[in-house]
Amino acid sequence: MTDSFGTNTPDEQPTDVWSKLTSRGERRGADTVLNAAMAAANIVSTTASANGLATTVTYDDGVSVPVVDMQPERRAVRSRSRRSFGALGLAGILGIGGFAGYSAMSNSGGADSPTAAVKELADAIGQEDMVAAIAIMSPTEVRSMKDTVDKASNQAETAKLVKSASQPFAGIDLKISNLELEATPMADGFTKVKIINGRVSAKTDPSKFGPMVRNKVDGEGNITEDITNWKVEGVDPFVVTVRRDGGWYVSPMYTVFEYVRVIEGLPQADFGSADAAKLGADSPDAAVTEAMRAISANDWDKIAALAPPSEFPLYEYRAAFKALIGDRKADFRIDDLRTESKVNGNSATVSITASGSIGSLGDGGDAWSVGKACDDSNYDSYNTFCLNGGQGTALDLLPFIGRGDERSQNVSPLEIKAVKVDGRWFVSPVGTALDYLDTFIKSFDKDTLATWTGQPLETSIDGELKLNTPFERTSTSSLAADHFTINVDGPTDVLPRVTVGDGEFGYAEIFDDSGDGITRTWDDASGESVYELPSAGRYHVIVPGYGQSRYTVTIWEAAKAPKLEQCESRSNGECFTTVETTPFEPGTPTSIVVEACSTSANGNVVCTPQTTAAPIDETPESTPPATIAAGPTTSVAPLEP
Amino acid sequence: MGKQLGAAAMRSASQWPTSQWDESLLQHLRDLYEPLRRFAGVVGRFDVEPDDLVQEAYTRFLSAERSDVTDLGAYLRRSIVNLASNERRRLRRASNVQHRIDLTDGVADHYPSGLSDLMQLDARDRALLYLVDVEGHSVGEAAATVNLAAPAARMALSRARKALRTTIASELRND
Repeated sequence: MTDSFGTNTPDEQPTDVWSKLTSRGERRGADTVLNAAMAAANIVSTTASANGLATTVTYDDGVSVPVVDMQPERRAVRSRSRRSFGALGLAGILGIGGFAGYSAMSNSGGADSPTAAVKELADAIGQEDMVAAIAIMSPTEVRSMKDTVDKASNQAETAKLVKSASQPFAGIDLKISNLELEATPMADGFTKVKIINGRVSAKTDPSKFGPMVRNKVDGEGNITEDITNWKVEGVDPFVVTVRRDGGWYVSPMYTVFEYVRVIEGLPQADFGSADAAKLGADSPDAAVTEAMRAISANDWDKIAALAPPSEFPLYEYRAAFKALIGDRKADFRIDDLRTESKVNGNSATVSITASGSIGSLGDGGDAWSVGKACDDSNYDSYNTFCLNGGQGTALDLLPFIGRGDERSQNVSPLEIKAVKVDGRWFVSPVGTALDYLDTFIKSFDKDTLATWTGQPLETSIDGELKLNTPFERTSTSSLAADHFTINVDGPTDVLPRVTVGDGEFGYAEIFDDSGDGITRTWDDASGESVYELPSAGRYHVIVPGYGQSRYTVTIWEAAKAPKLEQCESRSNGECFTTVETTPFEPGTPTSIVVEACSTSANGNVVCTPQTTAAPIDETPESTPPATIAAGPTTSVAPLEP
Repeated sequence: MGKQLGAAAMRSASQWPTSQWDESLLQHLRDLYEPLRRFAGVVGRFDVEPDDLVQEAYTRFLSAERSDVTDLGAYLRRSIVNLASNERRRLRRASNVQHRIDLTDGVADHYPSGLSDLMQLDARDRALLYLVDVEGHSVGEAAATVNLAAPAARMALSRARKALRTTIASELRND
């Protein structure tokens, strides 16, 4: 049986893209779904028990049925623990470790054996002692972390993530017990240490957390885990240890590389084969340039030779690396590449400005650029890769790495870190990542933390708005929300509008003084939300950070908000839109009316309908059809603010 | 919803107030399940089960005891669009302030290849595209379904088609 639409039958063959959507999900069947809906529709009321663990459901025929949550207590504890350990994770990201005033990072000289190194690490974790933990890690892999850790500790206290930088893990009690290890040498100076037994337990006391984090966590948490359950893709847990200057250290990088090798079934590493004096490039610029050209030429040996051996063992794992790449080719061309480096001892910052193409442009291919303004004329090509901005905005772009941030008005080169080892220069992935992390940490202030923990009303107030009055602001960060207040004299329906940069529509939320959201309704005609401010008083307007872009926020009384200009395309300052005059039939030419609209000096919007009999073009190009018979002109006076 | 399903399971079939709804209405709802499920698959977020949207739309209709609904299919489609839009707005609001950190249960969008552009569209825009370009309805009919004024629906369609020109256009040409 067909529905009222009359055209939808099970035999239809929608396109592949649509079929992925129309056929997705678990099918419960018509009867199951309908029966459940009928049951839900029959419920008149629900009453929770005093302890919140059960609910009495009353149906409209008077029948009452108790419903009990299964294992609610365990679920609640997990939830609290997850939030508590989320706080731990955040502290971990910032690399907190009681480093206030800690000016010199020295290693411990290493442990006497591979298993002793792992036990030292376990002891350090059990005492929440990041200093000791990092000291037992391979010094060549962590040496560049010193500055980052110093900055992180101070910033964490400033942002109220922790109460005191000297006690970053206050409130978290970790314990590792019953640890049993098995060492397996892989080569001289490289040993794999398997964890064949062990238990991790963790307790949290949120009363000792920083105030911002404490607000988001309720109650104590308690978790115990068997380490042997921490398999990765079926691989038993292990760490790799390395010998440096006679002492054994835990190596994070070798551990990661070895995990990938084992999980993917790749060839063994050639331990000890990386002689830095015979690898790398002559200069930092050469290192970066040769790396990019090597990617373009699919020269994986060259790429491996440009990674610093002591920091990133790609050269020793080159056979595994090439096996992982397999037959894949980087169809990647460089049309323009410029670098400029600033050297500081054995490290350098290399600024890159470059562009090129991936695949075949015009046939699903991509254009790419780094350090240049994103090309808005290529907006139709949704695969354009554009990294725009230096370290100040690069981290903002990482979640949007496919598009870049056209709204950002900050265009600057991409910066890569290079390091010098034994007279040769290498591209440093770890150093580059830590530089971006430094920038991120610097930006991570109280407002950022408040935004990220869902407490936007805790952010600083950036201004006071007045009804129907635009407020211009240049956003300073993409990480923290902007916060405004507005006072109204009585119940008021308002429509917030945010215009970013060149006219892109932004977004705003409104809360009352207690932080509760305001009821809003969706206005179908305009596609906007109208907020119903229930009473006189102060309200809070939250606008997401727009990454150093200028924007305008206006809180309109809904009845006074000007109509949005309905404009599909622009040409020579004129706005064009289409109005269909005959029903749309797929594949059949359809008469359309193109309206050319412009705003006159007195603010009136004047539209002149124009007609064409050409087959429908869903979106008119920027240049309208030339032969047009002008029709009657309409004008719309702007609403008074 | 889980609680309600549990409660439902505790009643026997003989306890249903079956006289509350006409059997012809219930049969009509069963017949609408397949097309509505397809529609819900299009407009809902990828992590929302289409059956959940259909079930919720059924529930709301049955609870409201609407006797003035003349086109049940269109009514339920509109309900599904509103449900999907509300869910998307709720999650977008949450992710706007919490989207870069895993402290919360923020949703990360992972779509099969070819769908990411489509899923970036608003639920209403996807609904319009599906109704007009796949099911072949007029823009006016589609506008009524998603409860938009026709001009707004045309503009939304135009924007959505432009956004998807690269992906969908090539698929339609290959049909």
